[in-house]
Amino acid sequence: MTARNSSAWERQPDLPADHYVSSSIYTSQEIFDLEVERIFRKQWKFVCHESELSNPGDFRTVNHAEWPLIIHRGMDGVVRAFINACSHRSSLVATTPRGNAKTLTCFFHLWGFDSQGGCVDITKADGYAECQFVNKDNMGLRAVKCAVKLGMVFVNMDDEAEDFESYVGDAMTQLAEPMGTVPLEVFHLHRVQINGNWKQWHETNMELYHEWGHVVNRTTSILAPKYHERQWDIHPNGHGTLEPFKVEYANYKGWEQRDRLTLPGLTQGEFRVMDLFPNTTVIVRGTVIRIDTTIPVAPGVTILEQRGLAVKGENAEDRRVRQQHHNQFWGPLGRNLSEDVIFVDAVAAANKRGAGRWGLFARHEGLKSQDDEIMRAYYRVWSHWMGRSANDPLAKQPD
Amino acid sequence: MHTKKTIVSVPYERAEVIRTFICQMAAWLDEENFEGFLDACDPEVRYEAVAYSPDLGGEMRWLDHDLKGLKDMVDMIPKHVRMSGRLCRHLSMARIGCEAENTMIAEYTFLLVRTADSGESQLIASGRYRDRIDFGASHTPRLMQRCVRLDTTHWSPGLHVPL
Repeated sequence: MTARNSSAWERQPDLPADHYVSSSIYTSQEIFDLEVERIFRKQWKFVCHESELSNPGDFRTVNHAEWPLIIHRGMDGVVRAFINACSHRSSLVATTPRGNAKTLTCFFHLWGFDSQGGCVDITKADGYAECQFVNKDNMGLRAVKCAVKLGMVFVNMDDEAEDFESYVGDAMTQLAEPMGTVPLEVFHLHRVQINGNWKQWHETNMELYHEWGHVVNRTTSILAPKYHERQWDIHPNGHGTLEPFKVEYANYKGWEQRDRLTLPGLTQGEFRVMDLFPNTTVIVRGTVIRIDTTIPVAPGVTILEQRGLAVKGENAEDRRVRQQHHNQFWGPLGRNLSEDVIFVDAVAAANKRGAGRWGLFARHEGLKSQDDEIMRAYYRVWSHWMGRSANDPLAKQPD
Repeated sequence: MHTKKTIVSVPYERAEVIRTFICQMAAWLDEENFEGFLDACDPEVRYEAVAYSPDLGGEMRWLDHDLKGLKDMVDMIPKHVRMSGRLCRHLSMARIGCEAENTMIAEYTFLLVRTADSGESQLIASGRYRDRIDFGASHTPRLMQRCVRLDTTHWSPGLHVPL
C-alpha cells in the first residue's frame, strides 16, 4: 500500500456512479446558485415551529436561503407566509425576529398589510391618483405556500409545487405520537456558523458511520444492543427514517438513563430520526426533540439553526430535566453537536480549493444503520432536481 | 444588577480579594487547570449558563451543574473532539457588592477569545459573569454560584469547557 500520485488522486473512483460525489458539489458557486434556483426555490423547507406563533397576530421573520420571509398567524388563527418585502420599495416589512401585529405595517412609508397579505393602507394614497396601478388591490404582499404538520411550519416558494402531504409522504409517521399528541414548544434556539456547505451538515444526520468519531455516540449508541440492527427506510423525494432503538445514556460518565418524562409513543431512552430533503432533520431522544435546519449563505458558508422542543406547560423541574437532556448532546456546550461542526469544517477546509476531490458513500450493510444507501438515495434526488450528476456536476451541459 | 436594592458596597480590601479571586478563576479556566477551578468552588456550588433568545422571547438555559456535574463535564474533555488553539477570558469588572456579611456578589463582563494554532484570534462569546462568593469562617473566598449570562447566541462550533 502506497500513497497515490496526482493522477490517481484525481481519477474518478472505480465505483458505481452513485457511490461517490465530487467535492465540487460543496464548493462551486455555479452549483450553489443552481441549488438556490432549483432546490430552495422549488422544494418544501422547514422554517419554524408553530409554538413560535402561539397567538393570533404573532409573527416570525426567517431567512430562507437569503430570502427574507415573514411567517404570520393571522387573526383567524391560520399560519401564512409572505416574502418580507414591502410592495412599495421592497423594504423589510418586519424588522424584528418576532412580534405581534394585527396589521403588518412597513416602517419605511407606513404601508399596511392584513394577515392575508392584502394591502390595507397606502399612506396619502391620493399621490398615486395619476398612476392607477398603484392601488390597494395591486399592492398585496407576495404570498408563499405554507403548510403545518405536527407543529412544524414549512414553506415552498414555488406556486406550482406539489402539496406538502404528497411531498412528505409517510416520512413523518414515526413522529406522529411524540410530536402530535401533546402540545410542544421550542425552548432552545441557537445558530452556528459553519464554514462548510449546507449539504455537509445534512450528511451528518444521515451518514451515521461518522458516529465512531463522537465519544458520546460510541459509548451510548454504537456499543448499545441493536444499534447495528436498525434498518433505514428510504422514502421517496430524498427523505429517510431509521428504525428506533434504545440509547444507553448511562454509558457516558456522569449521565443517567432517561427513564422518566418519556414522550408519547416511545419506550424509555428511545431514539428516532427523520431526515427531510433538502436540509431538515428531527431527532427524538426519549424525553426531548431536536429540529435542525440550515440556511445556505454561500458554497462554503452555512448557518445551522438548532431548536429544542419540550412539552408545553410542564412544571419547572420537568423542564429543567428536559433542558439538561437536550444540552447534554445538542447544546452549544454539549457533547455532540459541536463535534459535528468541527468535522464539517475539517472536510470543507480540504475541499475548498479542490485538494479533496471525492466523497465516498460506498458502504453496504443491508440498509442497516451505517449503510450509505440513505446518502446515495439523497444524492439521486439531488441530481434529479439539479439536472447534474453529483459525481460530475460541472460536466459540460447540452445546449 | 437585578439585586440592586440588597447590594451594599464592600471595603476596598475585600473588593481586592474578590478581584484577585475572579481573575485567578479565569486564569485556571484559560490554562485548563480545572482542578484549581473546582477546588475554589464550594461543595454546594451551582454553575449555570443562560442566554436570552430574541427569536423565542425567553431565556434559554444551556448549562446547569452542581459540583459533580462540573467535574464529570471536565473529566471527559480529553476524550472529545475540540477546536484546536487556546481560549482566553478577558474580564472587566462591572460591580462588586455585599449580599450578606460574608457573601459577596461580583459581576464581570467577559469576552471569550479563541486563538487558533495558526495565530488567528476570534471572538467566541460575549457575556457577563454573576458570581456569589462566600468568605465563611476561614475568610477564604469560595465560589457558591456562577451564572454566565451570554449575549452571544450565534456560535462558532461550540465548546466542551466551562465558560
